Amino acid sequence: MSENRGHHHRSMSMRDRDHHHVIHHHRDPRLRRGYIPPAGPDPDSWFYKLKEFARKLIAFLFGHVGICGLVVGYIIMGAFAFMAIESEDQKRQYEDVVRVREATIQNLWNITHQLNVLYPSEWNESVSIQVQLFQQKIVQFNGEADPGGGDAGTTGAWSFSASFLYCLTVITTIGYGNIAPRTVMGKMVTIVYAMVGMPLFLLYVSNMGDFLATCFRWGYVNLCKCTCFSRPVHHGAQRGARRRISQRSGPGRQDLMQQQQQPYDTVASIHQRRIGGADYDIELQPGAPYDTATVPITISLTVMVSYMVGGAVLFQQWETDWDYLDGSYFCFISLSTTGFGDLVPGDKINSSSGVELSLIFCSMYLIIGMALIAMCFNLMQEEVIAKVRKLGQLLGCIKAGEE
Amino acid sequence: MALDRKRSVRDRGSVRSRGSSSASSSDPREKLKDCCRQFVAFMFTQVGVGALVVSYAIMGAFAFMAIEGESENSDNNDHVARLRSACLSRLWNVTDHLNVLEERKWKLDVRQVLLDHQQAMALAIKGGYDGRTNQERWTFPSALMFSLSVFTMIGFGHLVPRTQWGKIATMLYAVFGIPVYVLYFMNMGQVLASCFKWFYCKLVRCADARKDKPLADGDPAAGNGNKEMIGVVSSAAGDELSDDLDEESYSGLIIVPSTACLWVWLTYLAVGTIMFAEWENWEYLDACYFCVTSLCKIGMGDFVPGANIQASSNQTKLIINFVYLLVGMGIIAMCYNLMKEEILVRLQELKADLIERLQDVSGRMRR
Repeated sequence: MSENRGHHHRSMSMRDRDHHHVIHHHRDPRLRRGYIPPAGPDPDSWFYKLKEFARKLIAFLFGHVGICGLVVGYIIMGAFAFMAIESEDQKRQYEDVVRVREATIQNLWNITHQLNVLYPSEWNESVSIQVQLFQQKIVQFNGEADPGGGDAGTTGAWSFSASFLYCLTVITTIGYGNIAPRTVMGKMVTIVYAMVGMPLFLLYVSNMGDFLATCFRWGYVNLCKCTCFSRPVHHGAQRGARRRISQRSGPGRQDLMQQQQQPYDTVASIHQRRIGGADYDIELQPGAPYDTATVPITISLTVMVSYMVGGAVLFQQWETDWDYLDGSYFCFISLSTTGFGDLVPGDKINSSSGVELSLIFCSMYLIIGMALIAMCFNLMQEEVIAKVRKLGQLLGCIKAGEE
Repeated sequence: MALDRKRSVRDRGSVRSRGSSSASSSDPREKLKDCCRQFVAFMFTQVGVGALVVSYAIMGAFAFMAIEGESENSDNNDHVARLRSACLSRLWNVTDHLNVLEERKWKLDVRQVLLDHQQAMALAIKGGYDGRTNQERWTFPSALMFSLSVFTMIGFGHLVPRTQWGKIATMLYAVFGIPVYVLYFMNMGQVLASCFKWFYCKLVRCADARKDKPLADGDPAAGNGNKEMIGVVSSAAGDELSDDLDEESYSGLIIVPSTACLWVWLTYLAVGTIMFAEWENWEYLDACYFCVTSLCKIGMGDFVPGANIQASSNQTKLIINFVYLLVGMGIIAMCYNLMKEEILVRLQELKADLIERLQDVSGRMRR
């Protein structure tokens, strides 16, 4: 770097010099204003480079894996909380059902006992009314079936994996509703849990989406280069030029923000200012070395659709009475965060082991699926915006040169 | 006039319309035409998108009514009727076989019969039985709520398609409806955000005028241009700008704090809570829970206004719910729009800060 500055100084254009100066400003602390050079080891030594690498690795790990771990930990914590809150009420609910059933039995006994001679038709009429009432009560309870003869020994509907799935559906805003809190405490905790968890999950999704999109783009570019089927579309040059022009003015902090930050930068809105007579755009983009190709929309759509179809096949195999339409319907409705809750894996099985596994699998599928969908949207973003802009200009809604 | 000067200064200074409209803004007739064109474009985009969303929901409601409501009253109702008659015949068998009616034995057998019936019923309820026919279930307001819950991605689930064609139609409806909804969301966000900023601006100016605080109105063009153009910004941008602008123009700068957005949202939430608690006779906590889960697009579906089995006559409440949700989404879009800049700027500041600190640490470690 130092010899660059010394020998090539005159031959470089103004633009490039500023560009390099600004890059030095970030990487090499020696060039920061007011910096007092320490008496220490040579910054170009292997030790320094190793520390740089370690620092970047730690930052990277902390960034991505940390957020994943944070989200999963948050869900687990919520699962335990809801298990504790709702199990007590579940027992009470089972007791209500048992009480209704016992009352019906008592009524039936009274009817049977009072008739001295058992005429079938008369008896059937009265009994049928009782059974009808009993049925309506069951519907009111929404089909809560206690497992055995009134002895709610198992954990019931709010097992650990069911609570895990519930917490996941709350923070991803899917919201199945096949189990829902019934206690006052449960509802309040749900509100607070959602408020805190939704931004966290959005952070996770955007982080993972950017990271996966960068990886995908890098893989795609390399694949294109290797196979030379088609030349990738270059959008990078145009944007790079704009960035250089905009770097000419503006001190201090803006330079840091314009640096080539690595994969986890997101596209910020164009923040426009006017300071001291010079105006410029601040536009942040994903890491530039990987930005020279645009993945076509069809590939992103293919990835999304194949993930859904894969999930549909898996769920159809796993669940006994789902066909392929049910499986794909479930995957689509869940991944679009709509989440009706009419079809949920493991809802109709009564044995405990099968339910646990399928719920955990479903949760993993959803967590990964959300990140994949974010990646696809990230990849499709540029092309879609360009196409929409073109369409708008064609329709005459947007004036040319504006927005 | 201030409006023209503001627009001309903005046109001169902004990157967007660089060179294109600076010439036209000087002629008054051109300005009028420009104004008219902008108004027409505004109507076409904002009102047009709103009308598009509402008509898409209505069209979807009719479609689902046709597909699901007209489908034969499914096997579920017949199945349940069959279950009941099976239960009855078993009860009769139990009663008939015992020559002497001994209470405990009889009750034991009857309990088992009822338990079996209950478990079979539970399965049927999960499969969608709730005591109503398809026509009763898929009324127009219910279908409208269903369409809304599909393309806003809330997904209540209290009413779901059960036929094959219904499920396919739902997926297609979602695929085309979600982009429409996202468009509406962005549009409403921008419109409401600018309305809110204008309203807040007027409020602050009114308060300042009453307090007799001097506004930097008679400034030269550059200072006034600064104030007018960036007249209402979110608080983060305001903090950054206040470092660089001089004192005169800063006194005229109006900053919309992000807490104002939160207050608006909380007020809307409170209004909805009170409204639903009164009309539906819910607890206040239940109404609050419903408002939060619906506006956050979670959509549990255990509480849905006007969708009780007994209260099948309260159909107008579903329409009010529809309007409440749509406007609520708009307000969330507005909050997102107003707070977006601040959040992003603060995030970048945080990252830059972190990097500087790490560099300082590494610099100190090398000494």
